[in-house]
Amino acid sequence: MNYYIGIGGTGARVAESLLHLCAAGYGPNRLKLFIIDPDEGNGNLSRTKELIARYQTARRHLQDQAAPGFPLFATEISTPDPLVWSIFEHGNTRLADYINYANLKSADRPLHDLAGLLFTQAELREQLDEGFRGHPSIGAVVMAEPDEDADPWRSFWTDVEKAQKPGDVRVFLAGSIFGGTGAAGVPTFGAPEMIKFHPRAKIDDATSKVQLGACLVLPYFTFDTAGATGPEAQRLFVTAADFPIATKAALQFYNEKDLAYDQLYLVGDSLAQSVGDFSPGSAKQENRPHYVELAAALAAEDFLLQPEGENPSGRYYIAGRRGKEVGWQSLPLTHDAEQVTARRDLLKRRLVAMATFAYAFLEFGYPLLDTPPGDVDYAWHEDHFYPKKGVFRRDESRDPRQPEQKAVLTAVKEYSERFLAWAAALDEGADGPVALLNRSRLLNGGDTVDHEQELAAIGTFLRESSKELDFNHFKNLLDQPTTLSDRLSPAGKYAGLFYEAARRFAEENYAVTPTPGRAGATADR
Amino acid sequence: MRSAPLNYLITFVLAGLLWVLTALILGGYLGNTVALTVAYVEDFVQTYRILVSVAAVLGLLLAFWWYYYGSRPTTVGELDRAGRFWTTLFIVGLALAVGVLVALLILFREESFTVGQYALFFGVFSLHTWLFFWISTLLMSPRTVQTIPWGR
Repeated sequence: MNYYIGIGGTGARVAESLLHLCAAGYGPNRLKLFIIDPDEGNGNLSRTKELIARYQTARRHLQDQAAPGFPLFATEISTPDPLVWSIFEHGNTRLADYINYANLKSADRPLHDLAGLLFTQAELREQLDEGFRGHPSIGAVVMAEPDEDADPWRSFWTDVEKAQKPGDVRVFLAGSIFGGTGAAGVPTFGAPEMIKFHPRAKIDDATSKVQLGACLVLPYFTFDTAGATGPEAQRLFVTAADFPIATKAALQFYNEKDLAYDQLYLVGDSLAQSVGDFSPGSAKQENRPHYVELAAALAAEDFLLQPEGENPSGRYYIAGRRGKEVGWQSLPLTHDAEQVTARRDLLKRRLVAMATFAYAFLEFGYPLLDTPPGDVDYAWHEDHFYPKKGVFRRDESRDPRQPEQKAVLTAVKEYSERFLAWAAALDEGADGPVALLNRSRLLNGGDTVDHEQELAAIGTFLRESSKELDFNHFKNLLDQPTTLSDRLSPAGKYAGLFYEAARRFAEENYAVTPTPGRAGATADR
Repeated sequence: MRSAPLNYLITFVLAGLLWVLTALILGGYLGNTVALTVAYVEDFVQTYRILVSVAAVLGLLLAFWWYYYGSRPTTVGELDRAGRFWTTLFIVGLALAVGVLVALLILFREESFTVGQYALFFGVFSLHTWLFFWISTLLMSPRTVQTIPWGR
């Protein structure tokens, strides 16, 4: 059993990267996921929730009948309902309300005075439905008592109780060290009694059913605070300038505290790239994806993909840039030095195949469904989706344009749009520090690059040398014999055929071929 | 059957069989049955066989041209154009059949043939040109353009 718990906006954004990795076929077999965030209207969180829904719809139809080992949407991702633990039962909660500050004065004066000492009046009065505004001390108080009788915690603890052996449930948390929610949540849930040695998890005083990992995301971005004007500017919030001090204090805390994490990953970057305008919370807080979130998601994969019985405890791993550029060679993939090459090859192969698939499907596959089947001249289309039935008739039951089939492909299309936008957003242009994919070869503004105008775009989107094969080559690959099962639904076969062609294209054009190694036994299914 | 060189070979063999059937066997039959007033029967049969051979070679070239065109890696990107190209080749085949028939009639303009014989000559030339092109491309076009020939 694998759990990912994203804490705060950064946790939700790491979840987004994790989902994309799983969609590309670089993930565990099964993953349960939920998010902790009091700011349910947060734009980053909304984006992640929408993405999970699209992933699940697409996967339900593609993987159910697919051959074992088919990488597209391979990970079975399930979520509790609700997906988000928003901490507070009611909206507009203030810390003062939560701790009954007003009543404390008469009921327990010393405790009232202690609260007054620990929290400023501004902190006590701040409404918390848009997060903790960079003040983890507030979050730590309210996160320490999750309701175990309500989802998502109810499902989580039920799963933990069902587990038998030590380390059966792998739980990975991710959040920022420098903000509010994440900085409050990661140390809070790292306290031994919170998860690892919770009475429902521990086997004895030294053994637990839970293998606990976490990724602390150190400061890696900045944002423009010019947008914070008027009353908003007067309120409590964190700025990028506060990050280093908050981080230093937090790291010192982690160093001194006896937290129960078996493995802790620390990921950060000193480039301080801007990810957009400032927003203290709410729907407006939607930041551009960043490669550090990908690195954090890779940390989650490293933790979750460790072979059973090989779960070291009391370890921490640090990842940061060595040089100015972040390329495929420098992505942190695993703590196991022997596995780095195999994992890197696998990740690159899967992400490049997925990007090829997403681009080709959006540019060609999905729009083709607007053409009546009898007017489509492609041989692969006729063979699989408009086959002859007798001499003069056609088997229309294989047509992916049927409403229920088209709905699945629409989910795949919508997911592909999000994947491509995410992959392209990691790139900052030729002079940027991230040299993974070339955004300008995939997207033109918000649209995909026209494959008829730019035939070679599909073969030149990697920021590395390639054979520069063009879109016609991709179309020819669709005509190659396929190993896809005939039991697949028309929509499943349609998407599967495009994925197979994309994988072959990536292997031929970008020379991303399998490397023998243990990664093949875990993730290379 | 649709991939090179198998489609080229089968088409060549098919054209050869048709040639044996129409030029040698049918030609021999015509030598025994055709009634000529001016020309010698041997000259007619020889001319007929040459014209059948010309039609067969041109029909074969049309099919080969289509196979080559259909197997180019860029063709998949221009299937509309491929459709127009196939139609053009088909019409060229039809024009060839008519042209070879006209050539035969001009060469033997002083002879008078029966309606059945006119139909037979046109049928034979058609068999080697547009009919041959249509059937062979219907059955053996490269996969990329397999849906283009009429009748798919």
